Amino acid sequence: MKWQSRYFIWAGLGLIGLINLSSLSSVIYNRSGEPSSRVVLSEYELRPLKHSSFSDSSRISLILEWRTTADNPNTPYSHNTHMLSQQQIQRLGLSPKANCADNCRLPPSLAVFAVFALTDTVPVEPKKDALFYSNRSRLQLLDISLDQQDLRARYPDPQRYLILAAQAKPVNQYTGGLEVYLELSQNSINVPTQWQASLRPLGRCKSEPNQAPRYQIELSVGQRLEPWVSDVNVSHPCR
Amino acid sequence: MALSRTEAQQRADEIAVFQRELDRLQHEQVLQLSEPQQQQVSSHHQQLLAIYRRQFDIDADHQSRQLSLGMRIASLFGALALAASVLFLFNQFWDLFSEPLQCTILIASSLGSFLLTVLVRRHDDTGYFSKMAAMLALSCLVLNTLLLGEMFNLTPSAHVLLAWAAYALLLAYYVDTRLLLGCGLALLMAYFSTRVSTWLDLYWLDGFEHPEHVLPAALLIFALPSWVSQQRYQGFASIYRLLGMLGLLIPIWLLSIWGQSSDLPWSTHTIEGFYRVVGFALSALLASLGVRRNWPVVINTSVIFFILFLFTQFFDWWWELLPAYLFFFLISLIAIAVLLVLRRLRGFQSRGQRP
Repeated sequence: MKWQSRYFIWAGLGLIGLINLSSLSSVIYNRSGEPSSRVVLSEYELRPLKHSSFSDSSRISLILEWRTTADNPNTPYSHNTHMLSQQQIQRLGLSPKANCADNCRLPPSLAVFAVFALTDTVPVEPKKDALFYSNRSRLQLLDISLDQQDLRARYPDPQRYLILAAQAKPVNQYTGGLEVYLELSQNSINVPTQWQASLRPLGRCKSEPNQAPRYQIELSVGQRLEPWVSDVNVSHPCR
Repeated sequence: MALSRTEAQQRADEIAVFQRELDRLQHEQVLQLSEPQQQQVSSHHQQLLAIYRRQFDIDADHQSRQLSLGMRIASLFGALALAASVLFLFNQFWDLFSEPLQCTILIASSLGSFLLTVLVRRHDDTGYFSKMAAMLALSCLVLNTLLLGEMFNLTPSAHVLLAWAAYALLLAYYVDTRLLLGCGLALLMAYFSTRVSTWLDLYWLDGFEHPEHVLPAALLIFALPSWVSQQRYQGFASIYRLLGMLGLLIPIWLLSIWGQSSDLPWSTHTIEGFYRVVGFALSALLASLGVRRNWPVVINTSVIFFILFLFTQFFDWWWELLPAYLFFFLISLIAIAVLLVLRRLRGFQSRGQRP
């Protein structure tokens, strides 16, 4: 069946073309025009993550570490997943079910936007040692909203405020309250090949307390709120 | 009308059965063909089989069928090993390339593996090598999409599941392979499950936590071969039905033990009870449908799920009340009862009666 065979071939080639075209056009659109945010972060905010999904050898990607506001007593789920405060949960319109004696199902997750900024001080928490404070991320979650434009209007400076897409996921419900954690949509950030060589040696050195950050990275965020590394400056290689 | 490989294989099987039965009839002196008649039938069959062997590389006897099974297994392992080889090749040398070159390599690997599949299929009468190439092509496209996403930090999207499903289905029909058909249908169900979540104003990734969202797609996939004939593709209809049934019965079983994941506005206890009843009724209904339509895959799958629902129910009722030996003894009695019912059904079927 020659015509059928030809149809299959064109369909296959078309599909491969379409998939790649849509991926690459979304990259072009994301990086077009002025970035929606462009901030310089240090080693403490962008930690090297050695094992990306497909490269187990020496390839480095970065994981964005952040923390919640000082008044939020909840401990983090992980470095890049934190519990939201009750105030933030209410702002998202999430509330526990009034009567959940028998059917305590959690509200659904929400696609949200979160705004972060670098702060100068790290709030003191009990039972943590000096290394914990000195090397801790200064990137703090400032606000959260369902509306990206609303956040941009309130935090207009793209050099200071980082707006990222995230997911607010209710994980537990208790009398009168909800536990909701916030997870960024983009967990790890790829380091382009030209900067891999300069960051790779740092993985062999140990981080010391009160040590100045060994590198700074300019992180840009585009139209689709997808981040990319736009510059890397290694100030203190292995000491 | 041109035959497909499946139809040629069917005809060859029927010739073998006919030949055996004719020998028996002649031996039992029920039918005697004259020498010229025998020669005419035999030479016609030999001629047909020679054409089929030349055109489609069919299995003419039991031995070649056994060898074919071995070849199928070898081609599956070969395809998986080839896909792993591509993955590790990328892994080994990835850092040596600049971003534009990485993009080019990814796209070229997808296009190249697809064109290789086309080329191999044209020269491969057996189909084993083209199936390997098709598996490689799907792996390359999946790697292509994932690595592009990782390189440019793209936000994960449900649409990629649809793209993979379409490609897997296209390759499955192109090289006539059931494994890729199964992959494609599973991806399609996953995609439609995320769509249902989006229509219900849920975050798309949450769709995987709501088993009910798979049900509409699974039902459609189960019914599809009844509307669109799959006769030209050996075993495709069975794969549709199998995947459709798994998409229906696994979520129902999960809901019968984990009612909290349901969208129904009832209490958890009521939801679990409801889905247990639905599970029993549906597996019994499907078993009966399988018997009527002579669909062995449907009968076997529904019997397995009926027993699974039964076991879950008994576990819920009796595990804490009864000693373990008595519990398992009861389960064995139930299995014997199921055997008796099935034997009765088989008896009705062989006598051409309705149960």
